Amino acid sequence: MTKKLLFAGIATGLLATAAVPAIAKHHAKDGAMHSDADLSVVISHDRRKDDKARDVYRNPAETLAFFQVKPTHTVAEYGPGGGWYTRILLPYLSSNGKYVAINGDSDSINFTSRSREGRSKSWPERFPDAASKWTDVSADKIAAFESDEVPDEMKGKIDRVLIFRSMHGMLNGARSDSELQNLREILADDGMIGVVQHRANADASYAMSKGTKGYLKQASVVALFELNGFELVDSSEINANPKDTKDYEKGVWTLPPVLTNKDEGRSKYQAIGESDRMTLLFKKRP
Amino acid sequence: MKKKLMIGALTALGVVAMAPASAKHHEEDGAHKETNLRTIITHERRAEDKARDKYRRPAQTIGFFGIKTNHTVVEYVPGGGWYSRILAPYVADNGKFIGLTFAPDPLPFGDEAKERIRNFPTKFPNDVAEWTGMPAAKFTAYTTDKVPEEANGTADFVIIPRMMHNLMRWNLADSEIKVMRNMLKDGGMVGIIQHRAKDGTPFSYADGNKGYLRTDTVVKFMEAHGFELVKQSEINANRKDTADYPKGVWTLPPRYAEGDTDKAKYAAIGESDRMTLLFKKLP
Repeated sequence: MTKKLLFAGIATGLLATAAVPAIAKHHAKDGAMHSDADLSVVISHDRRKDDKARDVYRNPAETLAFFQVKPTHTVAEYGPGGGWYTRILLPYLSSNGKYVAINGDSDSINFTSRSREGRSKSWPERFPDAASKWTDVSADKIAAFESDEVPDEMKGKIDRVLIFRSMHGMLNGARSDSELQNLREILADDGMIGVVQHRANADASYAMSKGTKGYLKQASVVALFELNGFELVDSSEINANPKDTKDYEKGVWTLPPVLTNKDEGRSKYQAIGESDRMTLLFKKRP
Repeated sequence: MKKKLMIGALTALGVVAMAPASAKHHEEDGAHKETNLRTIITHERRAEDKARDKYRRPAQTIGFFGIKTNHTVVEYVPGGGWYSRILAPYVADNGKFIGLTFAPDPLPFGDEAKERIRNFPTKFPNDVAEWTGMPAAKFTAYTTDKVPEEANGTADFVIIPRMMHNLMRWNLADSEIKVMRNMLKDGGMVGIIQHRAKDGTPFSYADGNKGYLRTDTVVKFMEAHGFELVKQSEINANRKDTADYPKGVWTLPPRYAEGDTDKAKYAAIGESDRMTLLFKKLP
């Protein structure tokens, strides 16, 4: 009896320790039972009720685990856009780490209109308030910079840079060179870059895989990182989708969530789901 | 008698085989056979250029690349015109020679230097005319930000002599290679000659700032931008180059960045070790 109870107690204790990161444990001691430093708590939070439908394709828990993101890290999200990943990362990091939003250097972009240019240039000022509204994290805890304007004291201090589906934009804008160099500069020597990107077939033509369709070859992405001073640490099939044929005239935007063809073929594209994606982890090479 | 005739026929065949059709045409006009590469390379206008032939091996390099006299050839960043004084006369009659240089705006240069680059399209054809004695109207020049639409898809060959390190270190690589790719015909070729870092050299030395790049870096870059490596050559190799100087490739001749310090040692090494790579534009 004693033996059995004791054993069960130890097992429960072990399980709890294994499942909850150190930081959540610390919060629990303070009496805060639901800590945002616990990724599962963040992912199941009410504020994500509109975001959750895409979890099945974007696999945030598995993806962040693969990128070895810790709640104590300083994490830069490159191109946060509508904030889908921001609503996970920002609360997750707000207590014990730091969240930084990074957009590309607007000087390297050819804008099609003044209003677009204005929106892009004012983004670093606008983003903290927007992200604060999404998450209730105070705006003064949210930093946002263009990649070439990260303050010197932050350079070399970033533990992770996460680039979700933004590599094709860099290539379309002919600025993967300058952007990857900027990101290399802000990354800590032992830091890593996690990339999720729409994946073209390995034998796709250049026209279908140069970025204008949203898809890139995995080998091209690895090559771009290698020649800009990184090396591949690991790759994962977490975000793969073998049903994606990747040959749509209008590119990846044919699929959900954009469904650019509207009602035409909608059920077919919904059955495919979101795109096939590569998931890659890089570190700096000396 | 009959025998003599046959020798005559063989000689005629030999001439035809050696000289391209246009040279024959020129002979009829009594002009120099400028389409013959050997004639060009030994031309007296190259009196000062010749000293570097033993390092730059222009005849072998052009032969390896397969550049033909009827090609439209784009020379990327001709600079002082060392290669232009060979390529321009080589293709002037039956092909087309185009000089192409950087888009000035993103360059890490002062205003004066940028202004010089902005003037390149007007100045360069006149420079080539002066060097070659051929009319400036035969030659065209663009900066990469102002290539007209009608020039796209017209080039058979783009040659990039020792310029990849600048593209890498000045963050111009993506934008410049895109322009060159657009200028090429389908299946067009790119010839790259580049100072070569030893395999495995750390990024800190081989990021372009020392002039040297690793071969795998150049190949990966081209592959990521829609080209495939066709073949590579050791024509421009130099095994004596240790490729590890604090001041980079400019330590060696013709620059001698260390001045008189160890000049004899660097003269004995000669110009840098270079990769010579031929790429094909993929669809």
